[in-house]
Amino acid sequence: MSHVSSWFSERSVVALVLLLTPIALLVTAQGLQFADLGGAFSPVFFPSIALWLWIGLAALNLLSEGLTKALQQPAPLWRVAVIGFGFVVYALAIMPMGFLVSSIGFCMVCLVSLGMHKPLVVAGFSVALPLSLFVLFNYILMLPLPHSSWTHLF
Amino acid sequence: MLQSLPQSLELILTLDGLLVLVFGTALGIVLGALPGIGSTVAVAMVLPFTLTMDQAPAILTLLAIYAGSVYGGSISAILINTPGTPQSAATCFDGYPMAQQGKAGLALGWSTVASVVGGIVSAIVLIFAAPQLAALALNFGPIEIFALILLGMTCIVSVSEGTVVKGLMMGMLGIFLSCVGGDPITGESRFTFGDYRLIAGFNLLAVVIGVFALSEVLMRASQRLDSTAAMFDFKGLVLPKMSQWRGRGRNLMKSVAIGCGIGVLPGTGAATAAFISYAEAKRSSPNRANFGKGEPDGIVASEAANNAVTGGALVPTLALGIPGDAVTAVMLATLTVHGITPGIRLMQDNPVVIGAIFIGFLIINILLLPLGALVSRTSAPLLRLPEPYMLAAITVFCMVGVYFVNGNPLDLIVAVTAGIVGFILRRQGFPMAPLVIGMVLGPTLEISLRQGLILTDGKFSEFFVGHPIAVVLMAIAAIALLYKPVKQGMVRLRKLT
Repeated sequence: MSHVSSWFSERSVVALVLLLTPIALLVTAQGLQFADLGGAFSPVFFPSIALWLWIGLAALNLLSEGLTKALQQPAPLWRVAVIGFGFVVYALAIMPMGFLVSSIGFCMVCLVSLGMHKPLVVAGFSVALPLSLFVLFNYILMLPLPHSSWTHLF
Repeated sequence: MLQSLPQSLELILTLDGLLVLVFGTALGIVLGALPGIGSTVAVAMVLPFTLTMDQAPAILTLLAIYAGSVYGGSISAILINTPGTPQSAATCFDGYPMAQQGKAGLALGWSTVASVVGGIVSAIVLIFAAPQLAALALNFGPIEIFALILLGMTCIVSVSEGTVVKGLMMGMLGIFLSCVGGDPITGESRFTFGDYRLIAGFNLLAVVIGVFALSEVLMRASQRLDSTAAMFDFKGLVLPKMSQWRGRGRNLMKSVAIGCGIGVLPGTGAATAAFISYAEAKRSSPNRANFGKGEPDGIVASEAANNAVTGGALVPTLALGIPGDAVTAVMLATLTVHGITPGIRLMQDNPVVIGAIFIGFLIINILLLPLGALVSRTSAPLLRLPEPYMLAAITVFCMVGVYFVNGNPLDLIVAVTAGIVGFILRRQGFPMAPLVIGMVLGPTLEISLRQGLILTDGKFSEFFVGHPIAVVLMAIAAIALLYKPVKQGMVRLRKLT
């Protein structure tokens, strides 16, 4: 296990992003319509309070991250990246490709990236789980899951 | 509430109503027993199946999953030394050593009886305390409501895992996310960046499922995955004999009291209650020398306390609209999906449904005994299921759940983004519960603050004049917020000197 304890670490980058995000949002808030309405009538009155508090806390957090030499356990990033990317593709594919096809694809990618290598078991599980949910919701509970754009069957 | 009792009973005492309770509790036990799922994810996974149900059965199903999963966590804690839910972590200390001694069935017996007693007492506390608290809160104006929400939020943040600063930051992030969309007073769009789909704001359940369930999948993927855990021989649950209870009744009742008390405090959670109760039992038990070696008092303390939290956590949730923990935050969001507005008028406006929830919750906890005996044996082989299959299944179930809340594809993107961001933040020690609680309480906090300021011509100082309840609540909030940092500071100071 290697340790990363330098100033430019995952911790400090996250802390910095958490400080810059509310600053950017606060600047955006000032440009909103009706932002100049007085006090509690202004739509940005309450969000601005939350953002100012967030900035103050993020500054404290950044300071404390800089002072603390905390150890960061590295994650097997390739596996997280594959599954994280799989999440995004899955979410984007559900509407055009339908629930069944996109779920089968996601399950296969997820299982293989998590170290499951028996092709029949992986394929069987990847088909059986989405198919059973598809049948349950579409034909028993009568709550239709998204269909693909090329066939009405799935 | 009493006047509507016959109608509430009518909702429960039907074949459908009883089936919902039995199947919900059994499913909750199974889901709770599977390591990695936990109560919040279990409730989120089952949510889409409740969308076709009426209000009372839908909420009772989720309550059954909640109570069942808290108990179910003890099955894997005892059989494979891996708590199915964080609440059962303290059960491993003595449950697993008992299993190693060949007494897995008896260990589960102790855990089942303690869970049932804890759950039943907490249900009685809920039935008597929640209406009293709700009646008191009905007299609150916007300033008192603001102070109440502030108190709820500070309690949640100050007791959350990690540092207070990180907890508060997540609370602010949650409050900010609740501001996205239409302004409740002017109707002006805020932080939508021109995307009309965001005018209604972020879907709370999509964010909850993302930060708890999908981020958990990534967390598990980033760790070493156990292929299959070693499990001891388990032939079924063995209930402890009456003679074996001699000298343990006091520990049981003390643990139940700790669980109920901690459960009522917003944000503290069942895991904290279980550890405090375990520590107290270890301190005061005549069998303290056996703790960690398979002592039944340890199992009783942990399981009675964590199940007693369930009813306690529902007290502020149902009476005030302040969620006791992340699971009850999901429950509150679920109420909205089913057309019930959470808040201080919840009991006043929905006496029949709330009555059914009270009675149903009591029945669910009684059902834990027979169903625990039945389901623990049949679900034990599931503990051998390799984790990757569970992670894939959790993701698919979650996507189904997110899609069905509104049928809005944007919610899927929100959930996935929340999952990835949640993973990054959790790796840095940021707790997720304050974010969700901030999102739940943010709108009420905003409305009550702005209404209060409009009523007082913008003078915040007038919040403290003529509003004694608000002053007391805000003073307690300040103490709750400052207690932990001051205590940590004192410890550091003592070390220096």
